[in-house]
Amino acid sequence: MITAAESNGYFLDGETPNPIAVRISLLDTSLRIVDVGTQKSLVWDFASIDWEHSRPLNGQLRLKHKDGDHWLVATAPALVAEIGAERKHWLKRHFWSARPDAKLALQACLVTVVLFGSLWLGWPMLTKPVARMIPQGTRDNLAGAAQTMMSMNDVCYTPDGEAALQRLTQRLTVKRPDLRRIKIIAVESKMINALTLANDSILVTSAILRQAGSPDELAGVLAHEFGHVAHQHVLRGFIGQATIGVLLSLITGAHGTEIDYINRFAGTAHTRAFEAEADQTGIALLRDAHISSQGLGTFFGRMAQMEGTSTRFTKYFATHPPTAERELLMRQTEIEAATPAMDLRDWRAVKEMCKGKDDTGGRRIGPTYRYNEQAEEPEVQPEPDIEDTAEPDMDETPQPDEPVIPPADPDKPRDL
Amino acid sequence: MVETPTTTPMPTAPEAAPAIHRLRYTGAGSKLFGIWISNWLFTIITLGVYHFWGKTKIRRYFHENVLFQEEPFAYLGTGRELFISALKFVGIFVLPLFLLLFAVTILFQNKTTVIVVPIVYAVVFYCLRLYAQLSGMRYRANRMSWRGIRFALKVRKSEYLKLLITIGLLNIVTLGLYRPYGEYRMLNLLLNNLAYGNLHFSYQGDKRELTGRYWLNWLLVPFTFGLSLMWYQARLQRHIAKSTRLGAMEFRYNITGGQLFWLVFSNALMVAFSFGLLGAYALQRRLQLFIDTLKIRNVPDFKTIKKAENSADDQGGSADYLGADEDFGF
Repeated sequence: MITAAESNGYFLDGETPNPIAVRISLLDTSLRIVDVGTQKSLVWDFASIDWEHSRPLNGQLRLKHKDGDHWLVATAPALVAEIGAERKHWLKRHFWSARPDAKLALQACLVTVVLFGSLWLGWPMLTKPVARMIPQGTRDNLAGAAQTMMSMNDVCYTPDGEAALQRLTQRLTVKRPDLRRIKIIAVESKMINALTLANDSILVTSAILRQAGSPDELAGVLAHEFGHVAHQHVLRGFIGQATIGVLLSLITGAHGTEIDYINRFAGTAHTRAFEAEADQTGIALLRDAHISSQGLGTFFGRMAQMEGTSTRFTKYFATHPPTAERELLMRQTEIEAATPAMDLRDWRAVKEMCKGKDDTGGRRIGPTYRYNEQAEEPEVQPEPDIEDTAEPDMDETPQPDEPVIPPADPDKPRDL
Repeated sequence: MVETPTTTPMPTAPEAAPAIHRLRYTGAGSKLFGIWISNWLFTIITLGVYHFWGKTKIRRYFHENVLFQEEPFAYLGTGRELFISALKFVGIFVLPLFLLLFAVTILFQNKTTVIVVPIVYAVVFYCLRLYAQLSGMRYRANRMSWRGIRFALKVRKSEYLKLLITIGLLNIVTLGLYRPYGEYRMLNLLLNNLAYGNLHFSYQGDKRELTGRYWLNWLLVPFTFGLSLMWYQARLQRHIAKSTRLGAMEFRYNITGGQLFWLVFSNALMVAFSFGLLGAYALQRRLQLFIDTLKIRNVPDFKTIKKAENSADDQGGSADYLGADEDFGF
């Protein structure tokens, strides 16, 4: 006969909120529960306890049965310690069967990580064929949207400047006729930047034109952008980011901060790889055109000074490889028989493209350039014969590394 | 099945309850912070999937550490329920809708599509979110228990949606002046359908208590950058407590506009400057203020309360998925 004074816990039957005083005793891996009022008893096997909702709390041990809302609360400290010790051993032996919720969490997380990991790793390859399938109309729409979003619709145009840029394009693509479709557009913007659009046109800002110290510098910048076009980086980046971002948010729903971090981290690794690839292609184009890469090196050097040093941690969230490393690469690249990228007349024409209507009589058109499929292919110039190429008149040609014009605005480049 | 002993009152249970009762919070900020940080890390590592379990952990922590008559509340929801129901929701609603709209955008590339598709997407998701909001509330109520008896919110989804849309439209038409009436109607619907076991909550508010104060604060909005509404919010919360009963049980909530303003302002600063890392403390401070200012009178005779048959069909995943139920506690 167990008396009320001997109760060491209470029982909640899930039918009423009234606690029933009980005497609990531990029998190996089960609990014997005796109602001190009626002396009725029942046994709870450890396997029948819902361990995910059972835990020590405020000096008590609260146990919930798997079937229904039955709770058993051990209140006596000695009993709590005794059951607690046995509980630990039992849970060690039945780790997963006692934690179905944790098991599913692990499975779901593993599946997601493996799935997205593979998708992320395969992204650069998977996006190539998809990018090719995107019709020109969509590319134009994307390009137009990007141009508008960045407020780069104010196009600078002078016939001489346009012709000079066309000549530079032809020279850079001398061994890559597939890239001759590229259209270079000068736009008014304070941002020191050159960027490739989804429709294979390249925007060059007035700030970068003002800042560029030599034709080689501009040619280097453009060669890098041509690299992006050659590998369809813009579209592939867009497809990859959109796919992973959309799939992630489809799975996890409307959840902000953490997912943003994941997306950014996952995305930047690929953009860094894309930038490095564009640098390599740019070098190849410069080599084919016999244009020195020192100009691009100078540009990166200036950018590196403006950016300051990046820490090891921030490097992983950066969209571009460290600028100092890129500068070094360009400085160390030897290009045989290099000649200046433009003659002085062309260089002046380009530099004056964005000087404004009042200054130069140049006119501005806009708002949005759309790639014209019907446009005539620019006349392909024969590959320059190095032996026959006349040495440019030094009086007429700027030095590749002439002193840099100080930047009008210290905006950092975004897409170069 | 479990053999249940007959009901005998526990000798130590308090018979003569004091006139005023309070809730007690036994949680520790450091422990909650630990859970919060581990949730953050696991959520990032698992590309977001863990958050279903993380959220459940926080909810469980809050419930288990709030005591009434020295008995903790319990939260019986699981991450599994949230995850599986979110997957179902994605499969049934989100994915087909997304694919349909994506296909329309690709197939019909014109300006109309570009404008119309995002609008359709936003409207459909807004409606789904409203639906999910109630689902989330019903889920949380159903998974909350005290002394083994669950709470329940038995509002029909159609009724809720109808009222919510009506209130929304009237708020737009009246430039927000309808808000106190809308809140009164919504409280009427929700609180009169809330129950603890077979004991029902009842709300008998007087809407005039809300309207005058709201309109005054509404007029002050342009001069106070909207902060005046914080004082209305405090009044609304006091009104809810005062006008709600659980059987004979009465509630009083003594929060002031100043207290609420300081809580919201300081929490916002804390969260912003810690990039969300101190979100756990912000939540705990909110709960602590609720507990400190809530008073309970006329505790009913629990012998008369019995469990109610619950239709526990809500799984809460859709609400969680759409971010429609970010509440962790009460």
